[in-house]
Formats: sequence, C-alpha cells, structure tokens
Amino acid sequence: MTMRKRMTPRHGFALFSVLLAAVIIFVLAATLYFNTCSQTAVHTRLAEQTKALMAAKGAMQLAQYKFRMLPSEFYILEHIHRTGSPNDIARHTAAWMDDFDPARPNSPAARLSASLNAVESGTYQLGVATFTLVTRTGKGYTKDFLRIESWGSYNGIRRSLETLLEVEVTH
Amino acid sequence: MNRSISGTDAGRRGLSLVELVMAFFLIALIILPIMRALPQSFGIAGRQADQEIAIKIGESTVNTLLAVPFETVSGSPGIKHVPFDLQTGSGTLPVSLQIDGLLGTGSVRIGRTDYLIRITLKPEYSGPPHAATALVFGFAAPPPGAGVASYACPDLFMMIRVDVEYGQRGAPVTLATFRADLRQ
Repeated sequence: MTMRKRMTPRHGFALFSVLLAAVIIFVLAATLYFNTCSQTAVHTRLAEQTKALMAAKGAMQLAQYKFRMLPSEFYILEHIHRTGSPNDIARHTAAWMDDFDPARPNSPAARLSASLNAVESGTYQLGVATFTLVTRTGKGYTKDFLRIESWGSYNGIRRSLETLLEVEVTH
Repeated sequence: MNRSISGTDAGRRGLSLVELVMAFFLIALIILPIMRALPQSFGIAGRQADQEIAIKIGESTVNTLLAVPFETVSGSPGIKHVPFDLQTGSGTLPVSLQIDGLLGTGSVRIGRTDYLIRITLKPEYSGPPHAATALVFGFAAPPPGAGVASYACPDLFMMIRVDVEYGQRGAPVTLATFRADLRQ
C-alpha cells in the first residue's frame, strides 16, 4: 500500500509530457498556417496595389496628352480661375476635368477603365483628381509647372500618383 | 516480498506501455495532419515568393516600356530590342525584351524559376481626327456658345499589357497601362 502511494505521482507522467509536446507542436503548426494565410492576403494586396498604380500611370499619360493637345485651352482655364466668376470657373473646370471622370459615360477615363476591365477579371477605374498650373518666379524669369494628380484603383484598392512637370515652350 | 516487488514491477511496466502506446497515438494524431500541412505551407510560401518577383518583373517591364521612345511601343513592324536591368537581391540581371509589331517577349531566370514576359500592345485610340477611333477631348467653348467644344486627336494612344508567367506554379501576373504619343 505504501509502495502504491509512492508510485501514484509518477502515473501519467509520460502522457502529460506528450500532451504538452503535442500542444506545443500544434501551436507552432497553427502559427505557421496562419502566417501563411496572412502572407497570402499581403501578396494579393501587393498585386492589387501594383495594378492600381499601373492604372494611375495610364491616367497620367492621358492628362499629359490632353495638355499637349490643348495647351491654349488649359491656359484659358487657368486665366479664368484667376479672373473669372464662380460660374465661369465651374463651367470651364467641368469641361476640362470631365474627360478624366470615369463615372461620366463615354469619357476617355471611362473608356480606358472599361478597356482595363476587359484585360482580366476585377474592377479597374482610373482618373485625374488634380490638374493645375503652378507658377514659380525666379530671377528675371517665370517657370510654369503642371501639377497633376492621377489615380487608379483595382478591386477597390486605390493608388495615387502626383507629378510636377515643367512646361517647356517650343517654337 | 519478492512476489510483491515483482508484481509491482510488472504493474509499472504495463502502465508505461499503455502510456507509450497512448503517447505514440497522440503524437501520430498531431504529427500526421501537420506532415500534410507543412508541404502545403511551404508550397504556398514558394509560390508567393515567385509571384512577388513576377510582379516586380512586370512593374520593371512596364516602367521600361513607358520610358523607351514611342516608336518602340507604337506597334510598327520590325523587331525592336529593349534591354533593361533588373535589380534582384543577388545583383543586377540583364533582361532583353524583343518587340515585333504588337507583340513582344522576354525571359529571365532567377534562382530556379524561369520567368517568361509576354508583351501585348493595342492601339486604344488611333485617330485620324473625325474617325470613331480618335481620342476626343472636351473643353469649354468661348462665349457666346458657352457649351463644350471637342477636339479629336490624331495620335496613337496605346495600351501596354505585360503578362509574366512563372513556371507551372500559378496564374500569370498581368499588368496593364497606357502610353500616349507625346512626341508632338
């Protein structure tokens, strides 16, 4: 009886050790599994961000091309911004920026977004948020810069791109 | 006394055996699913690493195609070679793209993975003015009309699509953007 009492505390020692080891292994494996899952989400997001950035670059090209085609009209818009009435400013700004609004049917931005949507599954959108003239006066000269902020989105992930371009006058 | 001791020893051995059997059973119960899950996890991790590299290759390719002279991406016939350097963790790898008309290819090997680059160019707008394929911009018409005037552009406006395939491990990475003809 005395011997049994002395043996009792040793009962289940190996079982306890194994259970402990099993729990530790399980926790490590679960951590690895969840890390892999979270990494998958991070990689998917990285791919979506890159696609959105590429769309924003496309929108930037559209904006630069419009300025290249219609520089005088843009300078008229800027002149109206400084001297015009609120109604005139709104009318000219809307007429200029509507091309970069993907929500406006048949606008170039809407058409380019649709073309990107045809490339692969997922929802693309692109547009231009800001298109302004920045004038900087130096010693004896004035430099004009275009400040363009374009954006692109893919599956709701949005990336923006801002560029300051020096306007060169060519003859 | 001897009988008692030997009986106790026998009991201890039997108990250890049961414990060991249960221990092996439990370890097997835990280890077997992990043995199946581990290669899956490593496979996913490897695929993700390849995909990340493929995205970077695609991005570098698109950036290169946005920087080369417009003639290179205009879809004109004739083979054009576009070299560019790819920065990797182990150094710089030279990559050469070959564009013929509206299609192009290139390849690079990083580690044990081959990456195949496919380029597709598509005229999104192509002019001439007054044609349905021309890009039309709007602007405010001067008074007294006070409406919106439009201007139809004569130039090409290209879509650049880059697909990067990496081995047999997953769907290709696809990136797309646009390039305007800003030469004029």
